[in-house]
Amino acid sequence: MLKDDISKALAPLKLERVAPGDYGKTGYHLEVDALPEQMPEVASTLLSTGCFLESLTALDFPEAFHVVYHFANFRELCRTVVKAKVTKGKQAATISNIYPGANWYEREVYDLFGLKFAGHPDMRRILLPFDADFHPLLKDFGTEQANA
Amino acid sequence: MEKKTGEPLISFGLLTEALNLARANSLWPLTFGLACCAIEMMAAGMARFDMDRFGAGVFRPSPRQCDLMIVAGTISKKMAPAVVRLYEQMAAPKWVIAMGNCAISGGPFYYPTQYAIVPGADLIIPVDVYVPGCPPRPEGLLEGILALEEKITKRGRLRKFRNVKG
Repeated sequence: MLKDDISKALAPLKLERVAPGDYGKTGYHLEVDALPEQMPEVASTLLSTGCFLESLTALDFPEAFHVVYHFANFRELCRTVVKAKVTKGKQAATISNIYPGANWYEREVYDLFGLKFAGHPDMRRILLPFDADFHPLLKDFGTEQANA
Repeated sequence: MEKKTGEPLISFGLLTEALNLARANSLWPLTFGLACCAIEMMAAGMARFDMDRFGAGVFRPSPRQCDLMIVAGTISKKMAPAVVRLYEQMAAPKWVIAMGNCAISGGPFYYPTQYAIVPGADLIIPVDVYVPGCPPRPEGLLEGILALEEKITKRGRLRKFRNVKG
């Protein structure tokens, strides 16, 4: 089973949580919580097990951003979710040097949430105009105008 | 010197009228679509509705060869500079049809705090004819083209038939 291989490979990293998930309920075979600075190692490990990056997005919570990485595999149905909590004002670590596909995902997260990725080669906006001065997926975006 | 409406500074009377008649009956649109309205525009160009009946079916791939811009779809803020550039690259006289609610006023994508779209093509380029609908049927676009022809020639396309007695 690939998920056992992955949890075995992740064991030396001493992550916060590596737990098997109920695929029928959540769609994940493996649920992982990691610190943001551990993400390059986690990504390298997953790359060595042959997983690809399915998606990368973020969630805006009051105390921190949750950066959510989805990994999947072509040979075996095995989806892994990795969540990293980035405190507001801090930067996440880029994995674009490991998964080149993460480059534009990370730019998208920066564009919509204002969360920067340390070490990213090209941290510019991607979907919105370059001169935009807002991050529209933040929870407090647009509330002032709506209440006015 | 051209004014924004495409009217020349010097007019040659009858010759201008003859030229306008030619222009009205060979409106060459620019090949581009921005959203789902473009599907209806393509349908209008195909055999069933056949814009070629009115001389407007010769979609050109270069703005230099066009005199009609059909803005078919939502204009996002990222796309707006490209639309303006295409319009400016077209040789005068040139006309613009805003096709569909998005090109007229932003359509269903407009709300007070939206940040992504330009609510109306007329905010960035001068528009001659508005064709409402979401999307308009091909007949609607044909009606818009006929309205534009009337605007160019300043006379109704069917006038000679309307005046027939009996």
